[in-house]
Amino acid sequence: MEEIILYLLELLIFPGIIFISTLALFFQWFDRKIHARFQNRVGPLVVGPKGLLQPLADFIKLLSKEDITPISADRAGFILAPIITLTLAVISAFFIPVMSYSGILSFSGDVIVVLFFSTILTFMIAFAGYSATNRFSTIGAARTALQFISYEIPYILSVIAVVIISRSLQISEIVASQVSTYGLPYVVILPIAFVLYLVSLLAKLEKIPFDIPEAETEIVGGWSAEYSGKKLAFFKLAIDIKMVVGAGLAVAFFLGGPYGPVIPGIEWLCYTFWFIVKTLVLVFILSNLRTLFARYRIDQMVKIFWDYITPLAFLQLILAEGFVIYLM
Amino acid sequence: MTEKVVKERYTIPVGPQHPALKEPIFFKFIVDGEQIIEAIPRIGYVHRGIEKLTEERTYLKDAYLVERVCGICSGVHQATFVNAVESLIDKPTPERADYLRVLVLELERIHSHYLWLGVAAHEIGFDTLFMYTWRDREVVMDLLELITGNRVNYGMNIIGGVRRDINDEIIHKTLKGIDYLEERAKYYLDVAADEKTILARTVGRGILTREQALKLGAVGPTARASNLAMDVRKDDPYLVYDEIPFELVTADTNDVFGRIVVRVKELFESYNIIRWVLENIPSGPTFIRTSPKVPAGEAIAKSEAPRGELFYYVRSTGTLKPYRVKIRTPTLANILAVAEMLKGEYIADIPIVFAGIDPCISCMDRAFFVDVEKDKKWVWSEDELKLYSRKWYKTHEKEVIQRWKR
Amino acid sequence: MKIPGVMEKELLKSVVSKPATVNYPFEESPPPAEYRGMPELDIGKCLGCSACALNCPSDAIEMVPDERTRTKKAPKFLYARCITCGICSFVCPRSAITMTLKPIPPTYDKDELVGRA
Repeated sequence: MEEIILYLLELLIFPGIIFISTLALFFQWFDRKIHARFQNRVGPLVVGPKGLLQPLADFIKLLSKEDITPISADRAGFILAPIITLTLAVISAFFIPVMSYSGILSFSGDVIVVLFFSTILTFMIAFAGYSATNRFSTIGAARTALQFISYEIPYILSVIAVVIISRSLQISEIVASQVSTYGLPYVVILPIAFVLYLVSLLAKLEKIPFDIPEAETEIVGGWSAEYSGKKLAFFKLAIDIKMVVGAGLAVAFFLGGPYGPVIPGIEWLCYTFWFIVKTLVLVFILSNLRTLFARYRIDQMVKIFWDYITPLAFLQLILAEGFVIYLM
Repeated sequence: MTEKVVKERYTIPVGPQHPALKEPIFFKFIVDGEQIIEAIPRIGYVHRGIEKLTEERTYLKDAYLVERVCGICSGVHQATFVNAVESLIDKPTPERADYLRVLVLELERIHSHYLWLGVAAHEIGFDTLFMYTWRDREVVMDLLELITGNRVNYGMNIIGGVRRDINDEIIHKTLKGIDYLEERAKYYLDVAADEKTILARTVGRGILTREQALKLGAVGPTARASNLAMDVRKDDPYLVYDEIPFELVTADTNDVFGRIVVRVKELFESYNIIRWVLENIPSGPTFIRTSPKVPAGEAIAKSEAPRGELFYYVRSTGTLKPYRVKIRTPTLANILAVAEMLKGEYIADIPIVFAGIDPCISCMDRAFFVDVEKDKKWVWSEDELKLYSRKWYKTHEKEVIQRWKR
Repeated sequence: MKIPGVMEKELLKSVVSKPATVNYPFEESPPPAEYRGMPELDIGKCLGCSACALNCPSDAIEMVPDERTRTKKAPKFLYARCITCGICSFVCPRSAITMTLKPIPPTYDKDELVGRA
């Protein structure tokens, strides 16, 4: 009985739903602050100390706005899309190792389950744009689908390179093999995979230079044009949690998980601390890339990914295979 | 403007409210997938009737009304109007006034081109360049506030000269500000030429060949990027421009990238003009007193606004108020060119191609008549409008009197 | 092959330097001495000649009865219409109107937007 209560607490509070949502909002604050500092301005400042509560204030404001469903929209799809997106995003965040080797959920083959959930999340965005039956939303949904078939292959291939080296499809075993078997984080052994993972993550999270489906100046917000009120709040929170999942997976696959020097006795706190530090480094790099470029056009983006990134991903696979054979 | 809408294709409306447009204008795009087949513009959403309002105010009040036609190029509107009225009055304006006018006009050109660089960068999603150029533009705004008293709508001119004068401290601050801005403009020229993402979005987009530009009547940097050497400051010099040595900047790439290069290089020419003006400004009075009644006659004045050729026509019958003022702004001449440029482009290129002509829709608006049932469009002359209004009031006389009595 | 990302050095310089924005209104940002704010009248110099009211481009000056001037009239400013162009102070033959440094305030109180000497 006690175990069930402990498990429920873990699921709900730490490192469960509340912890993940807080982390998502904190990452949004960090990203906005760094983005502003790169542009020589201040960023969020007033709400809370140094503007820390600004993303929470935005979330609450959106929850209280009027929720309009257009008459010609497909009601079922329009309402289901944000709910499914938020649910799947939170569930895939349960797999991330925060306090120890494994997350809350862990079983053999969970790498494939997490990748599958992230695929459905992208599909949900296209579905949302399609259900809104607005000209601009339809164009946004078409662009999401086109972008999806370009970045998904390098994303999965870079994860498979890691899987080949660590010989396991379970996230906890991948982290364990970095700590005990090799003693090195995989970013040293597979640097190309790390770079490709980051670039595909930029496209997956729809950040500049690949925020084509949601281009504000061209198609008025794309798939999110018709959303308002609670549904938009859920979508925005789901996007932030996607960032947590993407960065958390990168830390688990390439940077050795939440491991680092610890103080004995309160290991779980130190591991959480190292997890947050490493993911913040990743968020800093992503923010830097977001500030540095202009937005590409959809055909240029497809050309870049199919001409340069996918061949590099295959090259990395061959190198990883060669490394494993060399070790044998 | 043909209106043959092909019903099977997809139509995308852009405007009147759209994040890509800073002002309301309507475009109907007929697209096939992501490619545009035809672009049909429709204007008139922000027509304020300024030309009619000028007929009810005296000349001095008109100079301050006409300044508010546009916010970005307000100085050049006022200077051109005052130029037209002063050519009806016979006394020449003092030279120091002309030099000060050139100083304010060139500072305004700098501020307008920096603003355009930021807006064009925002349209292609490059917010960092937008923030940097607008931060540097604050230097120009502070200089203009020092010289004229306000950041936009300067109010520097009166009929017969300028209102304010500059002293040595202002000259020193202006030169320091110009040096800082020149460094930044060099950096932006390097960035625009080398940054691969900007080149990917602007090279080869919005092609307007030289023959097309001549046929459709393009003006300003839009025409100069298509290798047409047209500039009012060289072809028909006004104020002091026949004495100032500067170069005409053209580019021959015919695309949006050429327009970026032309505008950034024009910044360097403006810096040199300002330095020459501040060195060679003569001493003397800054204005002369004129009588409020302007002698009868008609006059035109042309000048080079930051967007192209600006044209004013003033007709007076010897009274306190003008009989007719007609304004032709450069964006009106470029709209047909932009409708031609957009054919064959992708939807993703609409914002940057449209922003490439530096549109100032509030300057541009015109009124015209559309009869939706009979599918007719027409424009009336002054006599036809008077005839129609007299007929309308005769038939609706009783109704109008009722409304007044209430 | 050119790698995109030319502005990286500038970005890193901006992170460590002070932001270019001023936290107005919590920090001061005074206008220069040449700024044109609300016009104010010095009743001792006023003649009541109505030059300011006749030349105001937005008709923001009304002449109202006042005992202290030679023609027994004085200007009343309607700041809601004022565009702070400064023509009133330019055409005044006795330089009785000065443009102060105060901007026209946003206010709920209509009486703040009417000025009399």
